[in-house]
Order: sequence, then C-alpha cells, then structure tokens
Amino acid sequence: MISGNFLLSLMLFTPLVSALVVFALGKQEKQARALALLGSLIPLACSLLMLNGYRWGTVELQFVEKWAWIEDFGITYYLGIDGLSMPLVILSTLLTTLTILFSWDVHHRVREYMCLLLILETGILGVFISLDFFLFYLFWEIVLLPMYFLIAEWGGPRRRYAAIKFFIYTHVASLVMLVGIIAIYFNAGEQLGYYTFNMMEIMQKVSFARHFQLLVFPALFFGFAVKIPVVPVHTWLPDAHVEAPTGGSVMLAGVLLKMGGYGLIRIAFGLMPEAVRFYAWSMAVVGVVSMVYGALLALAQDDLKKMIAYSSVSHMGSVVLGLAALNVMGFNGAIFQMFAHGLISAMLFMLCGILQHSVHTRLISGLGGVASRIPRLSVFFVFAFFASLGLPGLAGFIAELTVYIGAFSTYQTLTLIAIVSVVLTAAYYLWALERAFFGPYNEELGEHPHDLYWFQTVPLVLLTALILFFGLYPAPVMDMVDVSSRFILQIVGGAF
Amino acid sequence: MDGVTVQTMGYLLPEIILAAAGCVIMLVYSYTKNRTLAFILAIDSLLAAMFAAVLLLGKDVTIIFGTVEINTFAVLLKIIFIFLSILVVWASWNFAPNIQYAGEYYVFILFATLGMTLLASAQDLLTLFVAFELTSISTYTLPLIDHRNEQGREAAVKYFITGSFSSALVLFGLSILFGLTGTLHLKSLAVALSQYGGEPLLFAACMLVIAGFGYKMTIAPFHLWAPDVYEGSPTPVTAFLAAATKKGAFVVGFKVFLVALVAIKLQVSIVLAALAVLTMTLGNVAALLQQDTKRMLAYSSVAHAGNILVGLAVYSQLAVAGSILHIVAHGIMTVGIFFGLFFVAGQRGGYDLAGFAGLRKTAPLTAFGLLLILLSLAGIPPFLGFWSKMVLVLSAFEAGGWYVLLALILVLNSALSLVYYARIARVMYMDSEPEALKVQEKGSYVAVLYACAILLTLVGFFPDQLVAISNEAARFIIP
Repeated sequence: MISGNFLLSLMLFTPLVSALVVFALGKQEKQARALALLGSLIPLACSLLMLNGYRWGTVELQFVEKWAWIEDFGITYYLGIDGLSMPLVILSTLLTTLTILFSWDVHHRVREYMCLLLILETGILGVFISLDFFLFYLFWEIVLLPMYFLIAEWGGPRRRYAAIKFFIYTHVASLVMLVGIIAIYFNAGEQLGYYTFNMMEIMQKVSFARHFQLLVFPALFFGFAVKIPVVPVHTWLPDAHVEAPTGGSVMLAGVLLKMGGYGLIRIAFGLMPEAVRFYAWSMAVVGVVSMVYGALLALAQDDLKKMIAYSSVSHMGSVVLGLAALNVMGFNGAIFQMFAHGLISAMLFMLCGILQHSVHTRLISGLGGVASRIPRLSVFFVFAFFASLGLPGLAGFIAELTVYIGAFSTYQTLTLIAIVSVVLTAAYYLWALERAFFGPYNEELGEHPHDLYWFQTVPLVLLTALILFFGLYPAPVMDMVDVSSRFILQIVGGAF
Repeated sequence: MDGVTVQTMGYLLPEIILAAAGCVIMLVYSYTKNRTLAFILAIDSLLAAMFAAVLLLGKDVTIIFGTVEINTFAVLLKIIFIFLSILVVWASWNFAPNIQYAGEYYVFILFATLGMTLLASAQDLLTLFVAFELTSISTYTLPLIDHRNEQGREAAVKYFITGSFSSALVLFGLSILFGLTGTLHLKSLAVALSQYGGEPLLFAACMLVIAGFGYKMTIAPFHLWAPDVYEGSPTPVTAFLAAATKKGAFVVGFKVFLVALVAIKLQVSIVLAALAVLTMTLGNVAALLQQDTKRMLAYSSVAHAGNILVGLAVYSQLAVAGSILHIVAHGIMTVGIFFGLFFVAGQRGGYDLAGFAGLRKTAPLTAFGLLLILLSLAGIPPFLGFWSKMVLVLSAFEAGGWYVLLALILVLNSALSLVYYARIARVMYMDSEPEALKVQEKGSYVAVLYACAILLTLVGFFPDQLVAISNEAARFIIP
C-alpha cells in the first residue's frame, strides 16, 4: 500500500510528467494517445486509492502534505483533501481519462493536444487540493493556459476570438481575486504577527473585522463568479464552449466551472462568515437570475452546443442558490449539483461532438429524425437530456431537489421563481429532442451517418452508469459532503 | 578605511577588470581587427568581473574617502548588471561580426557596464554623476554602431540630445542640493536636508533631479525619446539599452530619492507614485496601439519602468526588494525578447506583427521560447515576471492607505498588458503564414532565448533565494 504521504503529490504531478513524456515520445499518434491514456490512469488510480483509504465522517484534512516553500512570504506547499474536494478530485481524474479516451479520433496535432489535456489536469487537481492561498492561485492561473490553447488551436471557426475572450475574462477575474487574497494576507498577518498564505491557519486563528469582510468578499466572489459563471459575467462561456473542441468543452463544463463553486465554499465562505450572511440574499438573487435567464437563453438557441452551454449557466446558478441558502440541505445540494453536473454536462458535450462529427451540423433546424438513422447515439442523447432536466432516478434530480428544499426554507419567493427554470429546462430539452431527433429524417444529413465508435461508447456507458448509480444511491457523495458542509456552516453560523 | 590601498583595489576588482579589459580590447582590436578575439576577451573579462563581484558578497565596507561602498545592495546590482551585459554580449555573437565596429561595440558595452557597476556602489553625488555619465556617454554611439541601419543615425542624435539635456537638468539639480547643504555625500546630505523641510528651492532641485533621471528611466512624460530610439537602434543595442543601462538610472533613483532625499520622502513619494501611474498606463495603452513589434516592446519597456517606479514610490524595504526583482526580471525578459525579435526580423525582413505569423511551424523553438518570455512579461505565474510584480503589489498593500490604489492600478495594468503580449503569441501560434518559409533557427539565438526563458521559469519556481538576497540588499537602502 502506498503511504498517504505522497499520494496527493503523485496524483498532482503525474499528469505533468506524462505531458513531458508524451511530448518527448509521442511522435506518432498511436503512441501519443496510448501514453496520454496511461498517464491519466495513474492519477485516476491514485484518487481511487485515496477513496479507499478515506476516513469517512470526519472534517479533518486527509493525506496532508506540508513543506516550506518560500519562507520569506510564508508560502507553503500544503496539500490536503476533505469531503469538499474529494468528489471533485475524483470527477477531475475520471473526466480527464474519459476525455483522452474520447479524443481517440483527434488527428490534428495529437501530441500537443494530449499534452495540454494532461497539463490542464494538473492545474485543476492543484486547485482542488491546495491549502495554501498562493499555491491555489498558482494552479488557478495554470489552468488558463492549456485551456486557452485547446480552444485556440483545436476549436471552431471563431476560436481565436473565443479563446482570447476566455483568457482575458478569467484572467481579469483572477487578478481581482488575487487582490482579495493579498488583502487577506496582510490583514491576517497583522492579527497573527507573522505573514502566512496558509489557508487553514488563517481560517482557524484569524477573524476579520466586519467592514473588511464586506469589502473583500465581493472581490473574491467576483473572481469565483466569473468561473462559475453567473449571469452578468457569463458571456465568455457560450463562446468558449461553442468554439472549443469536444475534449475542451468536456473539461470546461465538467470540471473547470466547478473551480468557481469550490473556491466560493472553501475560501469565501470559510473566511468571511459575516460577509456571507450579509450578501447571502444578493447571492441568491444572482443565482436565481442565472438559472432563469440561462434557461431562457437556452430556449432561444438553435445550436445544440450553445443550448447546452447556456443550460450549464442555468445549472451552475442553482449551485450559487444552494450555497446562498446557508443551510445543510442547500450546501449538500450545491456540492452534489457540481458533481452531478460534471458527469451530465461532460456526457452532453461528448454527444454533441459525436453528432457534429457524424452529420456535420449541430443546428437544430438543420437536424431532424436523427434517431431513425443513428439510434445508439440518440438513446444516449435522450438519456443525457433527461438526466439534465432532472428526471427522478438520475443524479441531476437529487441535486436539484436538495437545492430547492434547502433554498425554500430560506427564500420562499426566490425559490418559486427559480423553479420556473425547471419548467424552462424541460421545455428546451424536450423541444430540441422533438425537432432534432424525431420526426422524418432530413436526407441532407447523408445517407449513412456513422453511429458510435468503441472509444465513444465506453465513456458514455460509464457516465450513464454513474449518473444512474448516483441518482438511485446518492449516499456515498452526500455522506462525504455532509460532514464538511456542516463544518463550514458552523463557521458561517447559518441555520441547520 | 581611507585612501587607495592594495586592499581597496581588491574591493574594486570588478571595475578594474572591466576598465582594463576595455582598454585592452580597444588596442588589440585596432591592431588585429580580429572580431573573434574581441568577443572572447569581452565575454571572458565580463565573466571574470562577475566572479570578482560574487566574491564580494557579504562584505560591508566603505572605501576611498567614503565615496564608494561595498555592501549587499551594491554587489547584488553589480552582479545583475554584469550578468545582463554577459547575456547581451553572448547574444551578439551573430550580430557583432557583421558590423564594421565590432571591437568598439564590445568596448562600449564594457565601459557602460563599468559605469553601472560604479553606480551601484557610489556613495556621493559626484561619483554617482560621473558613473552615470560614463554609462550614458558609452551608449550614445551605440545606436550608430551598425552603419547599415539607416534609422540609427536619427536615433543616436535623438538619444544624445535628450541624454545630454537630462544630464544638464540633473547636474543643475544636484548643484542646488550641494549649495543648500555643502555636502555631496548621500548620507550627510540626508541629515543636512532634514532641516530644509519646506524650502522651495529644495523642491525645485528635487523636481530637476526627477525630471533628469526620469528621462533615462523612460518615465512618462519624459519617455518620448525612448520608443524612437529603441525602434531606431539596432536591436541588440536596444536590448542593451532597455535591459541594462535604463536600470542604471533606477539605481541612482534608489540612492538619490530613497537615501539622500529621505527628508521630504512624502512629497517625493507622491510625485513618484503619480509618475508611476502615468508611465504604466501610457506605456501599456501606447503599446496596445502598435503594429510594429519592436515599437510595441519599446512601449512595454516604458510600462515596466512604471512598475519599477512603484517600488521607489512605496518607500519600504519590501518595495525596494520588489524593484530589484523587477530589474532582474525585466532585464532578462528584455534581452530574451529583443534578441528573439531580432532573429525573426532578420529572417522575415521586418518587425511587423504580421511577420510573426506561423512562426510556430517555421521556427517552433523560437516561438516557444518567445511564448515563455511573453508570459513572464505579462506577469503570469509562475514565471519570474509574476514574482517581481507580486512583491511590488504586496509592498504597496503593506504600505496601506492610498498605496493600495497604486497596487490596484499596477494589477489592472498587468491585465491590460496581457492583451498585447497575447496578441504576439496569438499571431505566432494561430495565424498561418501565406507562403511557408522555413526559417533557419540559429543555435546561438535559440540558446540565448532558452537561457532567458529557463532562467525565468526556474527562478519563478524557486524564487526564495533571490527574494531573500533582494530583501537583504534593500536593507542597505532603507534601514
């Protein structure tokens, strides 16, 4: 058994090392793919090993690693994992492997593509397991670079615009967040008598003055909100999604967006309880607006991928609403929603990619009767759409139900408005299904469009199984999350 | 320890090596016209001088009647300047043999470096001024060094006129300071000036000095010469001017503003902060509008001068450390990026942004090296360029009050600068070139480019040593 003491580092840096190996040895497409897959299986194995050795029912950080790094500024190399990050870590390692497998038919510069996916994995995992502000920020920024190149090189016709928009939007947001972090660093330093970026130490020993919290919380919230994204700052997302290659979209929707939600809980909520209580209502409003407005925009789209992108905005809005509810149900629902949305949106974007590949269009108006010629793909489409609109028995339903129960006990009216988005969601999915997949087949789409290949079937079947499993038996994730939610709520001081 | 003794000579060894090597190269080159020999002599003497400077680390002595001080600050900056000169000379391996005055090119660089190393340890205004003039005068002819470069003539004249004008301003300001206090020594000046808190003449002198050195630091509104001169000079010269000699003016800034004028630090600080904001913003906005990469980077260099100035305005140890870090970071980045541009422009026949299209395919190594340096310039972690800005922002936050605003403006400017740096990267990586010209990647350029890029990355990952020594150095400026 590998000792827990370097399992996190192993998981964190294997993808980076694999990226170098792929770059060095992956001269041919086959080798590049095989090496990348192998390189992504190791972190997946690490995360599963950790799950095996995970101590349930405790809020303590596990698998902790801590080394001094840059002592002059109190920066430590501090990694650890708890109930908040564990589901997201597994989601990240799993989706990276599936994305690499799914990208088996990428033929354009395969070596670089795989390298970037692996570097992206290191960045994302780093965000989820860093317990030092500085390390957190470092990984947060590292994520931008591979994603930028994935969009800009392998993307659709407007990829350059989308890539630069993504980069500048999120970079500016990170800088605002950095300002917030620096403010925390100094304020905490004054109270402690020494300067440190150590998140846990600051969380345990420092309590910030009310006016300071009210000032800094918006900066942090802005940084995270752009990543989530919520409505006024969501405009980079549809562009990025539509132009990104399928693998990029899967990673973007599946895990990148979760960084925002995770940061919000871990940092903003953990450090600024008073500000959280003060701004809770405003956050709920932002969440509800994102849910309803995102759903309305999705309803108006003709491009399937864009529709799914807006549905992401809508679903991530419910994460914000759940968090703003400040109770256990809301929290659990929000975190479960992140997990479920990771699985479901990954599946949706994969399906979109396959559809595009096989009939060369994603426009609903240009499709029609697809189910009659590409039956297997259509089955998965129907399943994923239903999962996303919250069919009972699937993971999305559990998430939404808990969010609504949690939110309703705090904000009755707002939650009722939010529930409108459920109706809208059902409407756009069912309408799209009807127009694109059923009815007479549109002959312009080609005589014999190709159905699923094996490397597409495997990830889809796996995701289907997981969505079904967690829809029927959400307890493993819920139990893990519950303890940490209660702990954070205790800090925030909300109702139980 | 007064007077000039053998032991004093030991403390001045880096300077002595540089001066002697300059004279030897001049003589040897005028007889033999052997360019390779001149190159070897130049780089070896620089290496020897750097070694001699490294040996001085940890010393803290004052020599030659209190005019020269050897301490961590002085030695660190000596090492930085000599190191940057080594990079430039090394990178000029392909440039210098093609020009008529190759020997002179090395000699001027050596003398300019000599001036800068003296600057780093000068402790009175006269030594400071003489060292500064040595640096300036050595570089006045550099824009002309390549006779094939037509623009060089105009650049040299512009550089010379603005340079001598600024020297006159500085000299006038310094003479007023001397008239007020009767001393030239920086520390006694600081003590004497504490009685002249509200003297209008003092502020006049101060403004003259700021304006004069502001020219050399390329601080807005005194920066107007810089884009023209940087664009007109041969690119290796631009790299040397922007990476090394400009930073010399900042060293003077540390000594004059932070040590000698400490009595009126509040007023000076406000002026410097305002200038820093103006410089950063103007530089970045102007860079955004450029289509010519060389001019774009000339403006970016102006903007970075504003970043360094933030450290002077904040008046704290950490801020000075941040400025020193940014001097190192920007020096390395400038050498790397300008030599990279020089190489590409030589192959594509111009510095126009469009010429960088498809570089990823035709010159993959160069493109990747440039990309790393661009990321560092934009202040993306974990490169060194991020660290230096980070320390500057930290120091401004630490100072509190309206300095926080200064920090925010620095951060916003950093975001703004990303737009044009990313544009170069985008053109290199995304645009495909109409006719695919295969570019011959010369080993020596690639080596310099990667030396810079790897240095920025490695120090970016493990900055603690450099941060520690910069902090240590800063203690000698602000105790």
